[in-house]
Amino acid sequence: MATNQVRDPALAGDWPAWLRRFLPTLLGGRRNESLPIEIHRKRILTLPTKRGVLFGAMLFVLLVGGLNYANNPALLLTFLLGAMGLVSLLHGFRNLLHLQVVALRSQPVFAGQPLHLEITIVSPNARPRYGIRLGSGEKAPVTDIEGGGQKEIQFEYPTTRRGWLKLSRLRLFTEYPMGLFVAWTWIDPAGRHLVYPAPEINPPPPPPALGFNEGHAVVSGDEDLVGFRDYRAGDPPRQIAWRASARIDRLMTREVATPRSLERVFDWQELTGMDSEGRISRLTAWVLASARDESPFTLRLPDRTLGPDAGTPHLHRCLRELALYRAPSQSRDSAAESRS
Amino acid sequence: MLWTCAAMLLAMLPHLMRLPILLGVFATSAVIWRAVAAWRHSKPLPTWFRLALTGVAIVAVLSIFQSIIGRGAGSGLLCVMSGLKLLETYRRRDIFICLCLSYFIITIEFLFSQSLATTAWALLAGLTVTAALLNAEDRTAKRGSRQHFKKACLLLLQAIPITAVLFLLFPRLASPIWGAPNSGEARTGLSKTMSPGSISELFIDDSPAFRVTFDGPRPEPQDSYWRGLVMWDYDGFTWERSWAFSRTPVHFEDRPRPSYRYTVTLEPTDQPWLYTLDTPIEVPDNSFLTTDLQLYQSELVSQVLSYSAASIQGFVVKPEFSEIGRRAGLQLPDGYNPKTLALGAEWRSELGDDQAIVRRALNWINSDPFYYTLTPPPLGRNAMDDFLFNTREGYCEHYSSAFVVLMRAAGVPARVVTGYQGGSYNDIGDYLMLRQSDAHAWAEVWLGEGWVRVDPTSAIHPSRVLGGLGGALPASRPSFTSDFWGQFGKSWDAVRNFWNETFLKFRTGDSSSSLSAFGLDQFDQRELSIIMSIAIGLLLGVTLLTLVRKGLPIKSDPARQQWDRFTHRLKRAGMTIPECMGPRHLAAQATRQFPDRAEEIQNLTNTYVALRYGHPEQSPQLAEFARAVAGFQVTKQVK
Repeated sequence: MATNQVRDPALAGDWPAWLRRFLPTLLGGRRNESLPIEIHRKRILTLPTKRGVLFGAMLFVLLVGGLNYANNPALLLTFLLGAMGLVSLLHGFRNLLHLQVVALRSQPVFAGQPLHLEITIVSPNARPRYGIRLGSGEKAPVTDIEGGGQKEIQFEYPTTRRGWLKLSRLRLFTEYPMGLFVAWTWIDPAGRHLVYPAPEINPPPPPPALGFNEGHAVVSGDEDLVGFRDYRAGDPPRQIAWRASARIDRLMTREVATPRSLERVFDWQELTGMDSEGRISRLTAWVLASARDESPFTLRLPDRTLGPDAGTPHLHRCLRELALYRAPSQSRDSAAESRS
Repeated sequence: MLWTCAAMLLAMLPHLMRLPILLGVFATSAVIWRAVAAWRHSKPLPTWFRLALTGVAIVAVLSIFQSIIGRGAGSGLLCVMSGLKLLETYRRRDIFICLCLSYFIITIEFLFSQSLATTAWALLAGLTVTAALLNAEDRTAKRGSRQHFKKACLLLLQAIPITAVLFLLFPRLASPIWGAPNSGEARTGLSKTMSPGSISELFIDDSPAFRVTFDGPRPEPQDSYWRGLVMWDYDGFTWERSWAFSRTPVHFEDRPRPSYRYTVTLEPTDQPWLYTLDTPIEVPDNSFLTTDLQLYQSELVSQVLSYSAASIQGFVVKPEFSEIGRRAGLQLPDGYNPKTLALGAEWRSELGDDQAIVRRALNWINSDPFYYTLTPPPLGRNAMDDFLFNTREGYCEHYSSAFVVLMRAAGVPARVVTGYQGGSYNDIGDYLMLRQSDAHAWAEVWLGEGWVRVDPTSAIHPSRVLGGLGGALPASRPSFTSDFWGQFGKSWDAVRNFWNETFLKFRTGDSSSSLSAFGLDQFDQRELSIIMSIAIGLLLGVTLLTLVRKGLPIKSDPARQQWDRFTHRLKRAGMTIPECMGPRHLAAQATRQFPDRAEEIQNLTNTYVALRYGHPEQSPQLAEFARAVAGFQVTKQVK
């Protein structure tokens, strides 16, 4: 499981403007860059890794020993290793140079589940790139990109709330070739990713399908009678045909053709006694259940109504509206979500 | 992982050839076990077992070397511990530590040998360890090992200029922080005592003792005597130096002009004395010439050492404490070699004159059946009696010892001198090469004003030289034949001499160093450090530019390249051009922004469109377009 290092968005963005002007790269001065992002030389930072420090300590010990014994071949080898380390720094820098981030895609998920993202990186010139990694630490995903080609890196990002999600800065780094130096760059691709609301766990069953006469039980006359069938456990008592059952000494229920207009309606206003988020999660659960059953439904929100319809596009439209719904009185949404 | 094992094994190779068998086998089997375990994906050894092995290893090193300090013990411990570390290496971080240990092992080898061959091996081993490091860093594991090795070679090549700058300019220490590593192993060469039979193994050792370059004329082979030690005290079997005379400095009353000036490059001996051409009169400043003309310096010669001196042939140094010297030169132990003492006394009473006695002894050696051989029969308690009257077979040690005893018995003060004699001239490198097999012992007697050299071995009749040319009579040493192997041997030794002279001797800040070629010898160490830092910075910049330039963008067509040049100039002048703007649109916007260049812009655009999109036969010339673009200048508008 590849997890990007999650940085608190608030931390990156709150530096005063004058400081950000002087240290743009370190403080993530570039926000919301439109793709494609090209990593040019001013964006790349390098530092020795822990291994690089250990290597340097080893070189220092060899240097002191060689100087003490005036042992020229030992000094030559020490200087050579040090020079190779320095040159490897340049190679690492060049490894990231001029890479282009061209796409960042995701599939919507429900709040609380990790968002699966795919970032596409292109090497524009003929040089292959090795060991390009995303995130930080030992477990960061790694990929090689051949010259002139492109590669996708999959990674995950945790989600907590519904609505638009703006990723915090991503860190592209490489420790190529010797692992002594790490060269990295921060990118902040523009674009937001939709997170659907988390459905309620174990919701009550959705309201039953209602007929033309809303508010009344469905007891109709024989206009819509299709036939009788054996009583099945769970049939509502209203449907039991008492007279027919008495005749044959067996319980029978009336089978009625469901009119086209008897679809389910999920109404925001019906959910009394719940707060907004609770209503949204319950509505999400009902919408998902209906989609599973492939039965049509209507979603009625205070500001719009969707449906009646069935099928995947309708489902996603409803989920989107539920994700983005904001009550007029709500003020607690973060700045990231409010950007639309 | 296999790469790491191979690299560590390669690094340990020279040590294994020198370490005691037990430790060598220990280290090698650890590495091989790990390699096999990696190949077969076996589980690691349990921790207690590894700890036990560590304990065993330390105990083994301690018992063999009696300490863990010192070159031999240190390198043995390092190899064994690295092998054990390899056994517990299963993570990437541990691999890195193992490779750092391998780098250490390679460098430690230089404490033992600094030859050209060792340096070449060290470069190869370092390259392999670096390739293993690249391999360990390759997490996708898609690149092959050959690619890693090539990358390591590339890194090495790119690192050469910076290495050269560092090596030439890095400040060196004037004196060591801590002492030279004690060897713990014996070096070949002359020792500080002499007894007949003690240097026999040197005669078959052709390794170089020292090389001499002459500033001026060279001595003849028969005059090529190189003094080492002077031995006075005889206990019946062994000759030793005089404690007093070895600490008394010489005093020249009038120093004559030297006939030979030379520079000696001495291979490490782990001894404090130096060799000079008989008779030395000028010696290096930091050395000490004793009253019996031995040359000492304060530290042991543990690395190749160069020094210059001057000598004169046939000069008799007038010694200072003549009475003490004469008496010391007559010392003989009681109860040894009665027949020799009797013969000496007989000659004294018969001849009475010192010079006549010496001549008598030499004639005796020449005429009587005395033989020269490198494998003489052993001698008994009265060693000189046995030699002079029974066996009459020996080499320079026997003859010089017997001669000196005989002279002392006859009342002529005499002493033994050990050193080297002869040598072979290498005309490719223009130096005289003295090998261990040129080791020699001769005598000096007090005649007239002072000590005079007498070589009794040279008195042996030539027909009685049996086998073994090494250390034989002067002027009989063969020079290199001119066949292929002789030439090759000479060239190879000339290369080694060059290596010693130029590379091993190099010290930053020396006035005679090769920095004078660059005109940098005027600077002191501090200024050199600054120059070094600047040079390294420059080199890094140049390397970076080289690296970055190689990855040019994929070439677009030439017309497009010229168009890009044109738009680049517009951009520099302040115009913002979105990525996807076509040529006509761009021209329109440019004309709006720079109305005074409207016509030129229009022409260029038309040409470009025709070139790029038009019919081939109607298109204008690319060269003209390029020239037009080159001539297009537009300046930033000041609003």
